Amino acid sequence: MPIVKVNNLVKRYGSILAVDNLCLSIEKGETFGLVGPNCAGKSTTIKMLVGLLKPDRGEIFINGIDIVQNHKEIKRNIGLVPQDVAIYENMSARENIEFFGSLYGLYGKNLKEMASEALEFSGLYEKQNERPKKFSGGMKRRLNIACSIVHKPQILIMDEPTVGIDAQSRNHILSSVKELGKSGTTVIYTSHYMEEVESLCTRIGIVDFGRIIAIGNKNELKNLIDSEEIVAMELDNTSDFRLDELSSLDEVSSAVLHGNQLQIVTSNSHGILQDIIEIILRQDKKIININLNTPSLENVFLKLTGRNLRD
Amino acid sequence: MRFYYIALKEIKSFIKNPYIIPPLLIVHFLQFVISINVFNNFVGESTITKNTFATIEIINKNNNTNIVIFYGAFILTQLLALSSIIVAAYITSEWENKTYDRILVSPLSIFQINIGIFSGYITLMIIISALFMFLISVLYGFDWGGAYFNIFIITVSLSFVCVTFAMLISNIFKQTKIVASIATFTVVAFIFLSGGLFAGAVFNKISRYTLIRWAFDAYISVIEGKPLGSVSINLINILLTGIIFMAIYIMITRKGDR
Repeated sequence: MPIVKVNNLVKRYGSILAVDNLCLSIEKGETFGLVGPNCAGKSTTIKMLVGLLKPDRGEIFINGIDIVQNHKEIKRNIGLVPQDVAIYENMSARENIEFFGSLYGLYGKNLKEMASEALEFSGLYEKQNERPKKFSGGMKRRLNIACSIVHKPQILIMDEPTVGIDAQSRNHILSSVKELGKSGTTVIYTSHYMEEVESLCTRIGIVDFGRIIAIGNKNELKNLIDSEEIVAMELDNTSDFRLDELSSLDEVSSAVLHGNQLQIVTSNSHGILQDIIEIILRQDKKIININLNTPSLENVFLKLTGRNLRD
Repeated sequence: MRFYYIALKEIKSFIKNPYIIPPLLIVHFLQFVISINVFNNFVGESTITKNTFATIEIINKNNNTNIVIFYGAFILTQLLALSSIIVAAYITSEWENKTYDRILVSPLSIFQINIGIFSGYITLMIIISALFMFLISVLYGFDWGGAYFNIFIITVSLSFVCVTFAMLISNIFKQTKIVASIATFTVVAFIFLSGGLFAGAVFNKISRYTLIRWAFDAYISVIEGKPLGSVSINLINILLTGIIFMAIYIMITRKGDR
C-alpha cells in the first residue's frame, strides 16, 4: 500500500485552476521529487497534503487514511519544511525546536532528547542557545528543518529547502535528506534545482499547470527524450540575439539562452549543426565553444514544459 | 492541554522583548503622574492653555470622582487597549513569518490553537495590568480600594475584548503594517472619544457608547467600593462586544482555508 495516495486532486483560486486532477502515489521509504516551474501547483499540492488547504475535489490518503476526514491523527506522522524559514527569531534554536516538538505531544526528558538529536542532525548543537537572529541564511534553513524532524515523522515534506543559501549549508541539507531517506523516512522534496532532485530522489514527478506531466525514475524520464542531443554553445555576446530563427529549424525541439550560453535540443545535431552556425554568424555573433551533450533532467523538463525550471 | 505550550510561547515572546512591557509601563506611569499634576494645577477652573501645536482645554474637576482614581482607572484601561495593538501586530507577524502555518500543520485542532493564543495574550494582559497597578501603588501610593477581585474580573473582560479584536483584525488583514495602522486608529479614536484624556464633561454624550468608557467607569466604581453588581451593565456590554468579535473571527476561520 502506498504511504501517500492522491486521487484527482483539484484546487481553484477563483478562476485560476492551481491543481488540475492531480494523481500521485508514493511508496514508503521513497524520496520523491516534485519539480515544476513557478506557479505549477507544487506548493498548493503540498499545502493540501499537510491540511493547510482544503481540496475542492479529490482525495488524499496517508497510510490509507483520508486526510480530510482524519487530519489530526495523520498529522502526527507528517513533518513540513516550509518554503519560507518559519522560525521564531526571538527564541533560541533549542527553544524553537522544543516548541514545535511540544505541539506533537513531546514533553519532558523525551522532548529534550529529541530536540538534542534534531540539533545534532542539523549541525546546530553548538549554537543551540543562540537566537536565529545571529544565524546565516543557511543555518536558519537548517533550523527550519530541525523543527520539522524533531518528532521523527514518517513522511517529511520539504518545500524548496535550499533556496538562497550558501554551498556549505546546501551540501549539509542534501546529505541530511539522504540520511533521512536511508533511515526509512519517506521524503517528498520539491525544488527548482534539478541537479538536487536528480541526486536525491528515487522517483521524480514533473508538474506543470497543476498536473503531473511525467513521472518515473531519472532514467525513465531521460528516456522520454533519449533520441535527442544537446548542442551547447558559448557565444561572445548574446545581446539582441534572435532565438526564433533557431527554434524554427525543423529538427530543433527547443533553444534557450542562459547568459552567453546557448542550448539547443535537437534530434539530429550533426545534420543541422551547419545551419545553426550560419544563423549565429548571420547575427554577427562569435562562437567561443561548442559541446555536444546527452540530455539531463533539465532538458527533459524543458522538452516537456517548454520552459526552464527556474523561469 | 497542548495549547498550553502556545500560550506559554506567546507570553515568553512578549516578556523577552525589552522594548514592549517596560516602555509601556513607564509611559503610562508618567502619563498618570503628569495628568494628575496638570489637573491639580487647574483645580476648579476652566482653563485654556495654548502652545504652538495645540489648544488644550482643561475642564473643571469632576466633583463626584477623586481625580487620582479617575486617572488611575482610565490609564489602566488605556494601557490594556493599547496593548491590543501590540498583540494584533504580534499575531499578524506569525501569519507573515509563516510560523502560524507551521502550528496549523501540527496535530492540534484550530480550536486548541486559538485557545492557546487567546489564553496566552489574556494572561499577558493581566500580568501587564497587575504590574501597572503595582507600580502606581508603590511609587504613587495609589489606593485600589482593596477591590482586587472585582478589578481582576473587569480586567479579564476588557482583555477578552482586546484580544478578540486583535485576533479578528490580524486574521482579516494578515499584514503587520495594515493591522497596526487599523488597530492604532481604532484604539486611539476610542480612547479620545471616551473622554478619559480630559477629566470632565468633554465627549460626555458620545463617550457613553465607547468600550473604553464602560471599562474605566467600571474600574472607578469598584475602586470606590461599589459592588461588582453595580457595573453589571458595563461588564455585559464589554463581554458582548468581545463575543461579537469572537463570533466573526470563528466565522472567518471556519469559512476559509487554513
